[in-house]
Amino acid sequence: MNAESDSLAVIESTLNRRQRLFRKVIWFLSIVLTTFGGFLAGRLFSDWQRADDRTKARILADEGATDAAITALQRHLSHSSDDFAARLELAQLLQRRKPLEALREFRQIPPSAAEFTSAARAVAGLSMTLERDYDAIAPLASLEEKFPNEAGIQQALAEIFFRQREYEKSLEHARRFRTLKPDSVEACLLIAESSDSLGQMEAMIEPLEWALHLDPEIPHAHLNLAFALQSVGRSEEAFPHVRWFVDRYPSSVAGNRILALVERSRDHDDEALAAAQKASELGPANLDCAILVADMLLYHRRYQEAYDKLDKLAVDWPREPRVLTPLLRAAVLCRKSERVQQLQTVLRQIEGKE
Amino acid sequence: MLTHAALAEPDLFVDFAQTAHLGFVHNSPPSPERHMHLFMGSGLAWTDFDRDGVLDLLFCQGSANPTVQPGETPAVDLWRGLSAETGDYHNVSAGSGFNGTGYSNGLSVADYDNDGFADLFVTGFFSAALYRNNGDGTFSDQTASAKIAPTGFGTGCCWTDLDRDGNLDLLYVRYIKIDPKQYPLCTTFYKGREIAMGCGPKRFAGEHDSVYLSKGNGEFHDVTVTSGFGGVTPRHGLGCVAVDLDDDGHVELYVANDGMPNDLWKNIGGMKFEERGMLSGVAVNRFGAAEAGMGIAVGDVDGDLKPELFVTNYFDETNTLYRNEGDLLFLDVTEEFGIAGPSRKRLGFGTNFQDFDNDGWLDLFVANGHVEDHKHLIGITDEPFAQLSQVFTNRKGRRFEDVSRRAGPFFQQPWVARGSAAADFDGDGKVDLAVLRLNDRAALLRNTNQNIGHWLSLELQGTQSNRDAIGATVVIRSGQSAWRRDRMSSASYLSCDSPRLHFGIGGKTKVDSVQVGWPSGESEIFVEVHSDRLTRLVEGTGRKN
Repeated sequence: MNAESDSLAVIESTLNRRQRLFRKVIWFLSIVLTTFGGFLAGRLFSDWQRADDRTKARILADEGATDAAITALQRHLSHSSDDFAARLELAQLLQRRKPLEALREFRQIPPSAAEFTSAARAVAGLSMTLERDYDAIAPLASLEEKFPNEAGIQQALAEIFFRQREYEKSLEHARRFRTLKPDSVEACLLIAESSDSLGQMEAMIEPLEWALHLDPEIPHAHLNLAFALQSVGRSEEAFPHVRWFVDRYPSSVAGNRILALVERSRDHDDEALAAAQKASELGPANLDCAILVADMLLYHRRYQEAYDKLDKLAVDWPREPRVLTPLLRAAVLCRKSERVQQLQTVLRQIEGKE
Repeated sequence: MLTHAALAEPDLFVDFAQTAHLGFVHNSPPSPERHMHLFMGSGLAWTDFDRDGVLDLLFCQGSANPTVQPGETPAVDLWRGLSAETGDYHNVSAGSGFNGTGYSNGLSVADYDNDGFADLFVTGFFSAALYRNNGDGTFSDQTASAKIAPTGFGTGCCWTDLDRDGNLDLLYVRYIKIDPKQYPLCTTFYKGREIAMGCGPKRFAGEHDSVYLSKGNGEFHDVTVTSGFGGVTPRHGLGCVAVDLDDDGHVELYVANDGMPNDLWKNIGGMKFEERGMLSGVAVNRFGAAEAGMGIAVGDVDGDLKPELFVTNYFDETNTLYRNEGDLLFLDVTEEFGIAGPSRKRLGFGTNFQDFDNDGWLDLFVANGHVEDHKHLIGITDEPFAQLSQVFTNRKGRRFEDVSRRAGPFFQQPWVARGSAAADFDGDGKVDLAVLRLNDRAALLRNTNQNIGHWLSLELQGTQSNRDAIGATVVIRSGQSAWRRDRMSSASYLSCDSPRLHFGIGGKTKVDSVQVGWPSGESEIFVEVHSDRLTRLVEGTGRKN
């Protein structure tokens, strides 16, 4: 009996141990499953929430709730900074409200991303709108590399370099712009303006003539063409263009001034002087016009009148070489030796030489 | 002025060099390092060195070697005119005593020893020579015995009698201060490439010009400092002329400076000079800017019997015309005379005022060509090395009109032109031109204009004055018309026009009087002077004025 009971006890004890072990395993498994399930659930929840921010953003944006859409996308990007499609959407939403922030977002889209082209275009356009031309050059250069035959890119570069006073570069891009779009008035005008700034008067003529062929009613093209033609000695050809302009804009200071230059080159001295005087009356603060009148008076040997006019100008412009130089000539021709010496001293000081 | 009928003629000038066997070829190939002096080029001169009545040509020759050899003298080529009618030229340099091999720049021809034969002074790159005409077809180098120091980068030069003693004195112009042993070479970077470019003058300090006073015995005395020439900032001198600009009987000296104000030296007597360029209005242009002065033309353009000054300048500058207002005052009238536009896109060198159609108004020739042959390599395509030369007609003293397109083939092809000199070499009463082209064959532009007016050509001989009457002023009158010419020994760019003074007198067939203001100070009137021929006037044979 005892032996049997002992053996039963052993069996019972073995069973108990197995049960305990089984319970432990179950407990452990439940813990593991719970943890994994929780993790899985969390992950699923997180993914759901993320997807929800983008979707939400789109819905919000469509409904016109831009601020909320921006917030949703920012939340989304805080978790997924490499979602460049979302970043592009965010930058586009910010563009009108917070353009500088928009620029920052656009710039975070790298060249390797599919969205880069759109971002680069946006950065260029936005920078130009914000008058931050220097920020537009790099994206435009990238775009130029990718799309060498796109006229708009060349136009943008030409315009930017022109505004930055880099006229040679501007001319280079304006010429490419014209090659890609031969009938563009803008291209012709850009070439003419860059050439003008480079002092290349002759190079202005053909594009301006073509611009006027395309659109004969561009006032400043007529005026600039007249100026360019006059500068290279083709004053007879210049005359109809400046006449066209002055007939339509009789009160234009620049128009009358260029008319005076053209008439002078055509050997019409009286008409030239009259136009210069009119320009000077219309623009009493315009130094160039006043100097031109004085210059013409000197040519007509009306030295004293020229001297008086220039001397008066020198009161307001005491260190302006454009005034002092003809004044010196007038003083010389009027034999005002003391004034000559004084003017020479001032001019030498200004020159900083000798 | 060339008349409208004249403009209908197909060619105003024809290059006659080949027909005339004038085979001078200037030698100045660019070095790989672009030594700048190789681009400045040289001048030429008309003279009758053998007194046979036919004008001859002297050319300053260049050199392929950019370095300076010790003891070098400047190279000169002499081409003898054998016949005015056929215009036949032969190179007689060999055996003439011109043995120099150095790079020559400018020359001035005059009978400095008053022996009746034309002598010459030649400037060069660190060389210079006074060549005396021996009267037998040969020349001898008198530089050392004359005590003239051949130093520096010599350019323009002119003979003139500064002290009115009957002996010709000498102005010897220098360009820049440069040490040929440490020759500065310039490069520029373009698209990652280093490109050799000739150094511009602004990189260099200027150098004083020299004035040599003749002692009358073949020796000269350097009076640069005592006469006042040493007292100003040295500048970059190129072309020079000596002419009485204010009719006080004393010649002024005018020097075109490259990139610096031009100098006008007023002769105040007692061998003293004052620089009055700025005061006179000829130092800078109307905007007060110093330009890159190269060559000079002198002549009464507007018919008021006062000589105007015209200076050729750099690309993107205008050539500048200074109107003589009297009392040594000038006014820049470039724009008004229509020269600004046509000259802005040219780099001018040689230039001459001559009445090419004998209508009584001085016309204008300009020889153009850049100093940089590499501009296209740095992306500059509108500044070509070779450029079109230009001829302008004078429209009744009020403005110039560019008629180059109708002037003949020479004017339709771009050249790298430098010195130019005018003369009626064939004696047909029409002024012709000789043009030196850099590193190229010289051109002899025969005036073929068929519709021209009457003319008068004068050869002056001084007796009290220097024998060539250098510095004389001549005014001829016919009815209400009057014309003025000045006898000079230097003109254009480092060159020298014919010793004969040419007057176009339009429809006039008779000259009432010829008034000569001799360099001695005497003034005489000659009455029996006929049109359409060459006449010699000798000092002392006219009626005292």
